[in-house]
Amino acid sequence: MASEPGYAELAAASNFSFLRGASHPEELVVTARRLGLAGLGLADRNTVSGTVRAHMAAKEAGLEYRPGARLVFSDGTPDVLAYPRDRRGWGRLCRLLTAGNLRGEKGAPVLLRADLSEWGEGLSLAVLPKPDRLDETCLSVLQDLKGAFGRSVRLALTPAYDGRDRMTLEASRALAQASGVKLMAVGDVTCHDAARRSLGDVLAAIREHVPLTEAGYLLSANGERHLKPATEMARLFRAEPAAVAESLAFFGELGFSLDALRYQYPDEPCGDSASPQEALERLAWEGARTRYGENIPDRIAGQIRHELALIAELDYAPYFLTVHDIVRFARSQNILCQGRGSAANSTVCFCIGITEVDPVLTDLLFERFISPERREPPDIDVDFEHEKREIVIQYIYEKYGRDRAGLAATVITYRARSAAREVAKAFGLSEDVSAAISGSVWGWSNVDLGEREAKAAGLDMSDRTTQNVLKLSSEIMGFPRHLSQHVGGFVITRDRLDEVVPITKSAMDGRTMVEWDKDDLDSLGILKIDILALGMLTCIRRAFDLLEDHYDRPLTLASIPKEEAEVYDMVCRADTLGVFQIESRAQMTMLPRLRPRNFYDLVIEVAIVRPGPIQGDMVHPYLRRRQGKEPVSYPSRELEAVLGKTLGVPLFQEQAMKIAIVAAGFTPGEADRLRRAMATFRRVGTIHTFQTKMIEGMVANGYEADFAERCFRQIEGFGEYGFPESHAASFALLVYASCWLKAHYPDVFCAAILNAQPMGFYAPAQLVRDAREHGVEMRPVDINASGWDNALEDRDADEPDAPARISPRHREMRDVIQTQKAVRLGFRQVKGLREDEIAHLIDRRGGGYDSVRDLWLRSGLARAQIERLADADAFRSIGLDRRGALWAVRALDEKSAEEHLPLFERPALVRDPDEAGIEIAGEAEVALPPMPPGEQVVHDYRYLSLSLKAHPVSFLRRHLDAMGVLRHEKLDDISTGRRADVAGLVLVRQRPGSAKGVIFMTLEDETGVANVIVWPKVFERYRALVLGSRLVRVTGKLQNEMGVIHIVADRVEDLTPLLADIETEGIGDGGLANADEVRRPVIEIREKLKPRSRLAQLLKEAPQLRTDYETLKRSEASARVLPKGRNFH
Amino acid sequence: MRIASLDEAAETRGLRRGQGLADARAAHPDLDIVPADAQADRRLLTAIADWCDRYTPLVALDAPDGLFLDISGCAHLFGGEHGLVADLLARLFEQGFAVRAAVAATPGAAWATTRFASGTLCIDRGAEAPVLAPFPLAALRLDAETLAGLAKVGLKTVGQLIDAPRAPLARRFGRQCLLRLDQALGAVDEAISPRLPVPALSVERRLAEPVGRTEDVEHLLMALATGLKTGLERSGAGARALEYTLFRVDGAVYRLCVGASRPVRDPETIVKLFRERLAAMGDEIDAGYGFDVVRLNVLARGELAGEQSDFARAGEDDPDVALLLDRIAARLGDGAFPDTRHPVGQAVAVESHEPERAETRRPASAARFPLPAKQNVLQPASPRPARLLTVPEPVEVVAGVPEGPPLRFRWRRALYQVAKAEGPERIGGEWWGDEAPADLCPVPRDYYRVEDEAGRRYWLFRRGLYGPAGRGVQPQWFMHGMFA
Amino acid sequence: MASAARATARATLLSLRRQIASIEQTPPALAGEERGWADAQDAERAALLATGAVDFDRELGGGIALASLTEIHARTARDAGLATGFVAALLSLTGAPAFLARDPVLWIGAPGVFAEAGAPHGRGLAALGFAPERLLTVEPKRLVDALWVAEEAARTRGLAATILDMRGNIGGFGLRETQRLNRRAQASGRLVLLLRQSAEAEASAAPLRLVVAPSPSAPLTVLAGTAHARAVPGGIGPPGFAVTIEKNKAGPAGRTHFIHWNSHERHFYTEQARRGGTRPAGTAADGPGGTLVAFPRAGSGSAHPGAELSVSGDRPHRARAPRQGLAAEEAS
Repeated sequence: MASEPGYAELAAASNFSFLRGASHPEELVVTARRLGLAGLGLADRNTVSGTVRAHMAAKEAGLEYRPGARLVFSDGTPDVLAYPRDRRGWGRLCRLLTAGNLRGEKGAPVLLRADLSEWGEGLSLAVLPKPDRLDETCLSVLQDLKGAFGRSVRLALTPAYDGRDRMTLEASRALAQASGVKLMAVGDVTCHDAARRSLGDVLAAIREHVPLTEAGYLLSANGERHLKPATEMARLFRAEPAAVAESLAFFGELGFSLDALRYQYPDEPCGDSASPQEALERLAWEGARTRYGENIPDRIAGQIRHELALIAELDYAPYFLTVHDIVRFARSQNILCQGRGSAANSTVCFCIGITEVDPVLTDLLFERFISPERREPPDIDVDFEHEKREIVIQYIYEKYGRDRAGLAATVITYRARSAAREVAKAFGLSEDVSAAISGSVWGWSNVDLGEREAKAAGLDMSDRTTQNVLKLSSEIMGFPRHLSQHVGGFVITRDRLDEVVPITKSAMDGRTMVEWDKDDLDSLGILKIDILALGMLTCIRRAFDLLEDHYDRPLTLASIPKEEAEVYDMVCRADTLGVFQIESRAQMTMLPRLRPRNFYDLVIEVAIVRPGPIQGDMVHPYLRRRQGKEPVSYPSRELEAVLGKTLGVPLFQEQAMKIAIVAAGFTPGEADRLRRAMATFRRVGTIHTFQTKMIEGMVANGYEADFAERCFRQIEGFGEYGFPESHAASFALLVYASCWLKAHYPDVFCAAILNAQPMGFYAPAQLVRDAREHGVEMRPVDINASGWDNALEDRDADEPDAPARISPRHREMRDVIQTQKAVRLGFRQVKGLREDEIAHLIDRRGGGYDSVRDLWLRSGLARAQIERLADADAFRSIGLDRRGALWAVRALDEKSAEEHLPLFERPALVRDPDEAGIEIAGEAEVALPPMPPGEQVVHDYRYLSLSLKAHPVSFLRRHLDAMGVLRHEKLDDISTGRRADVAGLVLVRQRPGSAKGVIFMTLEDETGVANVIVWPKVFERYRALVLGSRLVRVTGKLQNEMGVIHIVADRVEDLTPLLADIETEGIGDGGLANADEVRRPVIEIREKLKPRSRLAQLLKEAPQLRTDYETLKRSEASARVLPKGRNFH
Repeated sequence: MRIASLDEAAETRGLRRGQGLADARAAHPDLDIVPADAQADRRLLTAIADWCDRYTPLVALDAPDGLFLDISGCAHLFGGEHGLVADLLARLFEQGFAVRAAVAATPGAAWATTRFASGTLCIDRGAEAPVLAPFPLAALRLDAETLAGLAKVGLKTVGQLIDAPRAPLARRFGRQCLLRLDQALGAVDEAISPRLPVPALSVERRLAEPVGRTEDVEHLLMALATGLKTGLERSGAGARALEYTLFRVDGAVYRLCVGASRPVRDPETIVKLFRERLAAMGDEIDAGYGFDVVRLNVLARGELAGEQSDFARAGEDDPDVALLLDRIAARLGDGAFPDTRHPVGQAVAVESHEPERAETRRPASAARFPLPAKQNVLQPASPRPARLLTVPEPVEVVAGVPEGPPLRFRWRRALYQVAKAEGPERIGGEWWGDEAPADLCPVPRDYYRVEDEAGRRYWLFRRGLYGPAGRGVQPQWFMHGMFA
Repeated sequence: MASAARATARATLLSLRRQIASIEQTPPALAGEERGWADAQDAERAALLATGAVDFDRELGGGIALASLTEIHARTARDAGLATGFVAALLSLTGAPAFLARDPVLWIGAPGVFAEAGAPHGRGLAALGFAPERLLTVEPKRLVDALWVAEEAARTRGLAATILDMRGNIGGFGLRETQRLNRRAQASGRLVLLLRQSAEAEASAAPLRLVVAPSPSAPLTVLAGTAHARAVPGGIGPPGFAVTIEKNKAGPAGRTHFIHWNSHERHFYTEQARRGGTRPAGTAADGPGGTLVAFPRAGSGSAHPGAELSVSGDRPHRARAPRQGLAAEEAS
């Protein structure tokens, strides 16, 4: 052919046109390249949130690409494709979109034609009217735009295949001629390939909340809205070839690339210094002198000089200053914070106070985190006390202004379960069936999303609808659903942020976010700072305050005595209930084997019980080497440098990446892409090429294939929960701090952690119990003694002191514990009380309340709140037990409360006693039956989630003894392999994702806890009991490994009905640990599940159990005794 | 979704009402689940209430699962209270119901005893207190909140409540708890609200030998109507609405109602009115093992006044479309289900891109006349033909490749030259249906509107595409309709 | 009090009239009309349906009579679409009595006719301006049933029209049957159409028989009515009909009229009328008599669509008396 027609597609919508586009930006790019298009412009619906992904993909694919947006107006103006011609045009486009975003609701921008008039300069525009709207209104829009922006305006035209294309063409010609603009051919595509039509229809059904069968014209008539090659466009536009050529002219006008967005660090006040670098250097040296004294060790000084030089080279000083300022602000507000992340564990950061982790302790190399060749921006996350993070966020908004600071976005994407659920709904399947289907889906890959799981869910795979649902669910997986705010990633710029990226509303009032997520910002080298919330920091802050107030011992993270052997002793005993990170069952099991003796051991401990090392099967090799059961060796000489500190076993994300580079021959850039591909999971499906490349690369370099595969699996594991060494180091510091507090001041620790709830694994009941076992005297909530928070009180002289109270199990702690106070439970422990009302109660307490009525009249509390106090048994100080108090509360007459003035206190107005019974004085005595102790405890659990009076199981002890059940305290005396019979309240049920369906249960009786392992087979037999019971008896073999005791269940019995013997209502979920996965879902932030049923959830997450179960069910089917349906007719 | 009800097997597995279904399923994946149908339950309860009509016309529903029968003055017919309860329990048991019952002087006591006593009891008036005392407070029909409040202060049985001083109780828990107590003990009267209106007049026959033949049923009716006559004469009235109730031995109850345009009193007339009804009901009345109780109720009365002339002669024209449709159904329909298979269909636009599905016929009996205001039905971008062929007919076509409109075509042996053409309109087909191929990409159709040289306009389509997009399907042409 | 008495008196009067009417085999009107019952009845029965195409309407004597049987023929099955469209157009005319464009239409297919020529398609009729939900169809298995339904329907005033859709000449349908239909139509004052395809002319009591034949469509224009209007090459614009008045009791027969349907404004027009801008007959003075239900404008007239301009003549004209009687003329 003489001249190949050229064509650039300028009306392509990706799936960032949420629930409209049916292809990833990357797919559009790759297809455009394959079709040989001269260029591609991405124009999503009122957003540019997909542009960076397309940009990165286009760079990789070698495709000409321009970012833009499709403006969809709310005032009847036809759609307009808008593309910036230069950097300023981009700024205007961003301002335009921002204006629409801020005017509308979240996710529903409201754009007006006036916005286009205001911000249209510097943009190339193509009006894309609907075929039936090619009328005079459209003409006037064209004429207006033409008048305002001249030749940069086009009339876009697309073949709709609706039978009227010729009419559309003629009408477009007429309008173009009348307005003097040129016609431009566009594809108006919503997907890269015709095969995505079905997916597009499903998206429409989801979007409009109608099943497919009723969606009608919301669905596509055909699959023509896909990318087409130039020849095809030329054929379609053979009557108007100039329109195709015009696409090239339009594309040629666009001189803006996202690469042109050069990030500008915000100016920070430099004080007396001339430049940010100088200011940073000044701060660093000042800080070094504070940390190390006037004689800074040479090694440190050298390191500081080295780091500062690198920072100067990369021009990162402003960034460090920004973080420093935020940390400085937090300190000034007495908000505890702690930096972590790649750059945080540098000597400079230590010196300027961003982190308290002494780099000497960790020996981390700065270059490992800031690499000059990648020019990746430094990454520092800062954790703040969770209650006070908002103060910091508002400070940032205030300091930089909303036009310069905004939160990063998080792209909420469809994951397996949500995809299956919504697709099933689109197919009109019932809630039940969609639950079954979504429950059957596991993992991310299409391979898994198949027959086995569907069968396991009891679905008929020969059923067409089921097949379609599964097929489309896997296609939709990874599709963006909407934007949400990142948990704390801030973008701060020197110039207007809204000229870099559009700003949009977030679901939370008072916050604004940008349209790009972390990865997008990363890709463009735009810096962000993570401002995160951490409950443990709140706990530590509160502990420091209590220590200062009650023990006169002011401490900071920096001044806590370092590397105390007693603290590590405690950790080795796994006496870590409540402390940061190493408190979970899995961690506690690991501690006695790992036996951390120094700070770096804690760093490893924090990192090792994570999906990465577990999936990579790295945990056991490390343990064996650590225990000296296996010699330390290295896969190769070059890896010795990488793995030296971890005994030759890769544990950290950095190490895994380094292996990819050193052993598999990845370039640093490739390794980075690998990490990102994992982090944002299978968006483009290039994982497998990475896998092949890595494993083959390693094998080619002489590594064992098995090791190579494990390394890759480890990287996969890091994908979801990347855990680099630098983070582990910062966390380890908090681990140590919390352990130190718990070791020496269990009273302080207990009060602080109760006041920081909810956080951590355990419920108040366990925290209180643990504190008591460590000798802390606990005092009940009382109207005349408690504050809102849990507090410390002086001990009575005649009470035994702490060491005397320590339980024998913790006798080693006798000399460590320095507790001298008692803990008074605060009102916050009582369910259903309101802090603001309780504040009145406390304010007006004066010399104390002497009756229920007195409290009511003086505190102004509503009767319901006072009843809650009675429920919590908080009237003991005035001699009323729970029932007595309730009886008195019931007599408070709410209706006449308003008229109540103490003056008028109406004495006995004896009317018809049945009528109102108003009399107060001389009321008939009522002998209320006393509440039995068991019932007291149950009520304590119900209203306080804990009881200081007794343990519920203690009331059943006689019964349990008769059954031959052991007390938990006796388990220490039983040797491994013997059978044990235990019973207790269920505290936690967990099924760690990495443990192949094993369920861990923790039981509690009045003497302690027992840890139970339930294997899948046993679980299947007793699933109803394991999942549903609150009190169980477990029989099984006891395993004692270095003091870690487990009972491997072979028989489970439900004793819950016994609880009803204590009190008919039972204790509900009282006392259940925070971490129980059955009743206490830890909801992923990314995917807010309806808190429908965690129990069903647990099963969904363990489809392998389901399969086993199905087998079981089939064998049982013959013996089925349940009759079908109802029995009457 | 929550569990509304359980059978014994499920109860023994530890499931309970109110439990989340998902939880129950997770614990017991083999649960057999039937969606709760409150309406069906209510219908069933109503049917049982109907049946209980045989004991007394005063039956009140106590949804979801209870009935109150006011048997004052009825018990003697069944050999006293014990006899009545025994008869009722036995008969319901035979029908497959698990039923508990109690007789008491107050509805409250009966309610409590039915649910909380271990056996079937008949409590004499004044003897309620000792029976009720050991029952939990739930026996008093108190709301959950009051119950919880009383339990918290340790008051858990009816006896405790009886013993407690009244004033402090009323003050703390409201009057409801005392009212319920008083109602149960008979200190305060409580009326039940019967489900059916109490008939103005009623006569009934109880038969030792159940009857089943139509003649017998008519004969009994005559007897009953005669029995009514006196009552009607006494009040100077005639019946304007009558109900003939047939109680079948096994529990089924038939109610036949007739209305009279003017009050009637004459037994012959009444029987005539019912005769047509009985004939019309035809097979629907199945006497089975026979009827053992029959009752004739007067539901509405009117004064017997002078005769009125009858204008009922129908005019020659009739404005009523509905009537026309009924007549057509009567003549053309199969008579079984006139509502769902009415021979006349109303065109209903369906939002579907597929021409065959874009319009359906709805039984005209479902239509309302006059027609409701025009709905905004979306139309496809391109016009549709005035007549659509039920089955597209293959045609031979000469057309440009790949997407040219037909130039010439042969249909039903005639050859047509195309003068004007519009298209294509590409219709991709519904991919989610059962007929769609596994890859979810049905073969598309390209529709063309063409006009032949004479000026006839047709709707033709090509099934399949040329080139790689056609994916190997041989394109074929069809005629699908004619435009105006 | 007085008005109550009056109402009772009127009711009595009306019922008496009904009785008389039933005796005399003339239809009563709806009771309760404010104005004179008989006058309204007369007016309705004398109503003519003006199509908007001037010459055509003039030859029909002002329009198609509502209260009589009208035959609409298509020579071949392939013209069925045209004839169907023509009928739908008649049932959608702007300016016709309200009921005609509002009430349901019963379309009775004689056995086999839908299979041969397709069934009327509401979506397609909608494109002509016909509200498709009005379309009721029935296809009895036997011809006698179809006839019975047609007769029942023809006397139902709740219907806008009854259409008997037949194919070919069928034994069992002839003069007697058309007489009966015609009489019912006269009684109810509702349109009764006999839509026949591929049929030879035969004895019929219908006063009017039109043969609908193909005629090219008008050009398709975009942005019509603006300065930027342009034709779409090869486009199919407003449909054309060649309508031959084959039999006409009210005027001359034999001429073929080439008319087009404007579906937006819902009227027919002849190409000349459209170009010349002459208005179709719209006044009583133009019409030869009867109550002329006139279409007020053509082309780009600006009257509100759907406006009903029912212009009565000065007084009822009796020139068309035969329409009211029992027409028993021999078919031509």
